[in-house]
Amino acid sequence: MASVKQDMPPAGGYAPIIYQRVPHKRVIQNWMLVAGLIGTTAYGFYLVKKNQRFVKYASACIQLMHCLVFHSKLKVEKFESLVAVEPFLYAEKDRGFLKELKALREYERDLMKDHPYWEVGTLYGDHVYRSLPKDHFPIITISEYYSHRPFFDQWEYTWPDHWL
Amino acid sequence: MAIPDSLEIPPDEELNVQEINVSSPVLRAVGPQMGKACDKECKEYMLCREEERDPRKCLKEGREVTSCGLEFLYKVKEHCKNEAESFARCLEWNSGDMKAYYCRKEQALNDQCLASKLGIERPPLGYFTSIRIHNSTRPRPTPWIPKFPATPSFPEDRPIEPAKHGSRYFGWW
Repeated sequence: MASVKQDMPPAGGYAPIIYQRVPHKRVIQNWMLVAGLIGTTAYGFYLVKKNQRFVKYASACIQLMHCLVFHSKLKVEKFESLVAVEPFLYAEKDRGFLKELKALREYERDLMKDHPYWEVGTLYGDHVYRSLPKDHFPIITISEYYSHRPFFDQWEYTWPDHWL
Repeated sequence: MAIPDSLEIPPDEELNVQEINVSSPVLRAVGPQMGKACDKECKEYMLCREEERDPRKCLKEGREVTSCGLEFLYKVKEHCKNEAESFARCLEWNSGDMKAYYCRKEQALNDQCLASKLGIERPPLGYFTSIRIHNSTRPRPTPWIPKFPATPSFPEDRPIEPAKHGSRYFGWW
């Protein structure tokens, strides 16, 4: 038989087991909560009073009807500044549109040059609009206008503020 | 595929003209006066555009509009550059949608300068949004009416007999 050494408690015995509840030290005291409540309320009251003073003396309108009229006038003013320059924008846009149509036609000619029976602007000689006179300006759809461009361009046109 | 060779598009000489290359705050700032200065051209062009519905037929009017606007902007640059630029900068940096409400001081300076130097007063509120009447010398375009071949029909003097079983009207049915 080998000699066996019995495990024994450390000298002086184990430390006593702590089984009582040990509360954490309170950082925020109750009086602090009450003080914070009172303080934030007072600051908010101060802001409200300040805004009321601002509205009373510095704002353009106080009563509801007055405000409605005033803001609709502002909107009319802003809208007018757009309406006034509309012809200039449209003039440029129309020229750009025609230039783009020309470029589209040339692109299609270059694209289908290996296709012997293809006629530009038609489907093998079949016009999109048959009964319309020759000098009638055709309806150019959006997908047609962007047909030789990345789809993202059409997407940007149809959904201009997509990044918002 | 809807742009055939038979479609006549004007040559490049008519399409390539000097464009108005200014940003949108400047257009917002001097826009009302610009529209007032080129009132006749603008009305003529917009009427043409509305009536013809064909961008090829209003190119001459469009070029006149653009040249008139350019002339006005050159004049603004010569006489009221600082005022217009400060107003445009104020419009750009004081609100997201370029309201003039935050820039009344700059706007007043700009209006004063344009009125005194160029002689163009800012039109009153509602000038551009109300109906503007324009007498144009351009003839009114005649609408194109499609002509269909004569549809077959009964002869005028066909025998008309009374219905065999009377009226077929039966209550609500």
